[in-house]
Amino acid sequence: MTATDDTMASEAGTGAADAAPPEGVTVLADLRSHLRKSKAGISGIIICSLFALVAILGPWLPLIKDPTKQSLPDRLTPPVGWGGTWAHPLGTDQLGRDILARLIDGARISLLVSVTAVIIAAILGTVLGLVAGYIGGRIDTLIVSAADVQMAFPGVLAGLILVAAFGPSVWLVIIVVAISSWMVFTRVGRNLVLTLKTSLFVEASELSGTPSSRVMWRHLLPNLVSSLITLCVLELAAAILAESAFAFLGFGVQPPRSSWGLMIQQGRNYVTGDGWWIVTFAGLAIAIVVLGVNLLSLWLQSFNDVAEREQIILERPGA
Amino acid sequence: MNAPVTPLVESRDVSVHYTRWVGSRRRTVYALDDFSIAVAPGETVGLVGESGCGKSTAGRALLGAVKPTKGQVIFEGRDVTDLSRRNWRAMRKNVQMIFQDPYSALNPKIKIRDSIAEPFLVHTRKRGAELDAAVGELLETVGMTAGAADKYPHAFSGGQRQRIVIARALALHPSFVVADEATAALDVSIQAQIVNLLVELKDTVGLSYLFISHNLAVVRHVSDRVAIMYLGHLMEIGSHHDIYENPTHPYSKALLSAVPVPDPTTRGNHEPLKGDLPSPMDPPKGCRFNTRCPLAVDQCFHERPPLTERSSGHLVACWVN
Amino acid sequence: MSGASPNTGGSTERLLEVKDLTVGFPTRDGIVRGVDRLTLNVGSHERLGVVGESGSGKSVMGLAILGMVLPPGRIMGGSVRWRGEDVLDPAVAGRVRGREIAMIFQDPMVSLNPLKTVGSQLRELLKRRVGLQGPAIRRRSLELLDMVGIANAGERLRAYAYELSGGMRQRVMIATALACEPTLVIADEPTTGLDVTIQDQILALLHDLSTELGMSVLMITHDLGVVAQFCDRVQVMYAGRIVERAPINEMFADPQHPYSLGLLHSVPRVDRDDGELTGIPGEPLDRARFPPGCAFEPRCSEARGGCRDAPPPLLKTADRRWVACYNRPAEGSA
Repeated sequence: MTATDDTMASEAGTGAADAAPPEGVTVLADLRSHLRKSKAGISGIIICSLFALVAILGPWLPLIKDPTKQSLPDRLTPPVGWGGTWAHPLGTDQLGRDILARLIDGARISLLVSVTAVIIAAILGTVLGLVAGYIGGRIDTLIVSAADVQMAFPGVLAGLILVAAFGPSVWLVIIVVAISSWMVFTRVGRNLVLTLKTSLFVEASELSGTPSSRVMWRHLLPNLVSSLITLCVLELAAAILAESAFAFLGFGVQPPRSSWGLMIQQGRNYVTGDGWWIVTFAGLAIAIVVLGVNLLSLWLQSFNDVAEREQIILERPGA
Repeated sequence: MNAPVTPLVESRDVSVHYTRWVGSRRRTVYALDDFSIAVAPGETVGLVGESGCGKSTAGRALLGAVKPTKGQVIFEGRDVTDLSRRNWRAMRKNVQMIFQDPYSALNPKIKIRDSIAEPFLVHTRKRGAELDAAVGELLETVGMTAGAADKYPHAFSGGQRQRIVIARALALHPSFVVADEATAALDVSIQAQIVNLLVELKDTVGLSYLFISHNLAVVRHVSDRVAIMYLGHLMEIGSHHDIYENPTHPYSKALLSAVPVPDPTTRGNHEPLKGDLPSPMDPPKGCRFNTRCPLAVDQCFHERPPLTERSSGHLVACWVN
Repeated sequence: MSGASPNTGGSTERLLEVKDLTVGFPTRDGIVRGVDRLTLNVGSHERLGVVGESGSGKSVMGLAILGMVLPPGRIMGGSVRWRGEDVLDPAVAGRVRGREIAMIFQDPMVSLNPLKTVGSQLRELLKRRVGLQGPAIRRRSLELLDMVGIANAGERLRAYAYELSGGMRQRVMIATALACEPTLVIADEPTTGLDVTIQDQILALLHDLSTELGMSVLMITHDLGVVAQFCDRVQVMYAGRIVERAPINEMFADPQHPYSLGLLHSVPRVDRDDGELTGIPGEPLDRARFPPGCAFEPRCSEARGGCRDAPPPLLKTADRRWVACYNRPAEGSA
């Protein structure tokens, strides 16, 4: 992280550190000490890791029931504390399925859809952003207009059209979510490239006759990574919400699999009556995970802002 | 032209104009006008001037990094002005550039090894141990240890980074190097190290330099010949001796007397040059220096003075002197 | 530190007395002293130069004299007295800063308000700080611009900072500094970044103004040429400390500290062909790794064992000459 040293070096001391530790080590150490001083960062990381762990380990967790197993005699059992038993800690739904198990199954879908969609969007969007920013000219105009059109086009509508054509499926949701977020990466990537391409190291490389593809891959891309990772996390939150929305509308995961959006959709008839817990727990799951992801991205942002990072590491007394 | 032997690189009446939007108006920037210069093999030509004089544009035009609006660039007797992109790429081996700001001239995200190795990867078949050896050798040539290759730029000071930038420029044994304010961002004690290194490399590696700088003292120290520019025009060109001992253009004289000499016994009552530098978007007609020239006569406001030879190799563009 | 207090020389009145000023910055490796036990005096009608490379702490010093240190840095010790009053006391600083002591910075865009015209900035200044009223304000504004050599001043009053050239902006900044008729001007790299011919104009302007108005100037710069042409006396800083202090002619004719000597042998001259530039070997120190001894020791050709133990004190070696080096005997001790 050159910039760290540069800001420090502005007047008092140039970074003539022959003995400086390798970059990776300092960044990791900074990351740790920065995290220690950020409550939001810690909360975000805890929530996100819990979410990921539960989603990945879901079916192998002890005492977790089959999320698809129906048991009509047990239907609408309330959670523990509201007259329920530990057999169904969070109660059951209208078909007697265990809410906890369904939440965990929903987490799996949610993680699968959001992560895959964001990865596809990030790769596609970044490549387009790199090309648009670096090559410029007509290609740039084309890509920028496409991004603008996409920005104005409602994602739900695109989803509707695709569902009408292909029928609902998880993969369709992934594609729709990816299509509705690639342009964010394109825009941010392009703007960064426009600044970067005037830097001397890019000019030096071009003057040596380096092909454009290599300039983009070796010189521009590595300098985009930290900003794009932050953006990925931010988009993850949007993707989680989008997946729930699609499931709610019935375009995504189909029963008997579970999804938080689907649970809300199915449970909404029982909200006022004898099944408030179905919607409540699914809604809480969405809210908490989205909050956690946002906290994480907020913290990453403050870490990427070198000046702010220095200030936090140096000024606040360590925990 | 004005070099005694066949020039290595030469520009003939090169002009670079480009347009820029100022608010909602399109303005033409006259960055460089009818610029002719020649650099002989093994020679260092200093290019001096203040901001907006077009010295950086001139350097980039000689490297083919900026396309001339008009005129020719000739490298080793061959007209390279209209070379295709592919042919320029092959040319790149012969010409290189050293930049002013060593902090932005190295990619912060890649190791020194990869920065220096890039020209080899693009132009040669050197790989693996052979490549590492070449990188190590280059680093030692510029006074660094081969171990520096494994670090990232942030581990180095400005002077060390500039050495690394020089190493990268030397990778493919160029014959012509444009040094664009190569020492301007460095502290004086480090500046001297880099100046010495460049002078030394000229002999050991066999380089020709176009040494672009606003610092007349450094240019005096390194150059065989010196060209003085003002607002895109070449005002005076001559040998080191011609320019520093017998400056003829009123601008050259004013510029030289404006430099603060680090010696209090030289304090004198010279009259500072009046006025501001005009904008290259709206240069004065006739001689571009006419708005500030103490000697300007009527002709200076209407006609551009041509460069005329005053003594062998000493050319001046002035109607009066 | 040294026993006797340094001599400003001559019979001038002492205006600014800085003693043992220390400014610390917290870093990952603990507190680092950007300015370390710095002593400095400015007399009336004096032009003192402080010269140093980046990291020498010269700019930090310039601000600290007025009690201004950018956080997280802070003043850790020492005193700054202006005509005997403690400037580090905020009440005194508020009275002195910008009035009796004015500052000029390298980049006028930082200190000039981009949203206000030159005229409105001057007006505000003259109203608030000087207490002028009505038409006197405009009269004085025009007079100030005229003093700094700005032609058609009336028109310039309506201009915004971005509409002016670099040299013109620096002139405006000098005009704002002069508004309160300061006794001392601290100029931090006032001509760095300007073209040579413009630098020449600004230096001549500052020189003339300081003579005409009887102002003292503390000129902070990295440029030995500027010091040689402008100052009466000079202090050389390295790694937060003063390593040498001397009258201008003596410093350039016979630099005593190995660092001053190295600096002088690093700058080429425009007025004659000099021999080889010797430069100074090595790299400037990373300020986080200041050694316990003399900070210049790793680059010094004269270093010996004792140099590594403790920083050498600034001692008087001859009349008006002070050097911080173990290899230069103090006056009377040799």
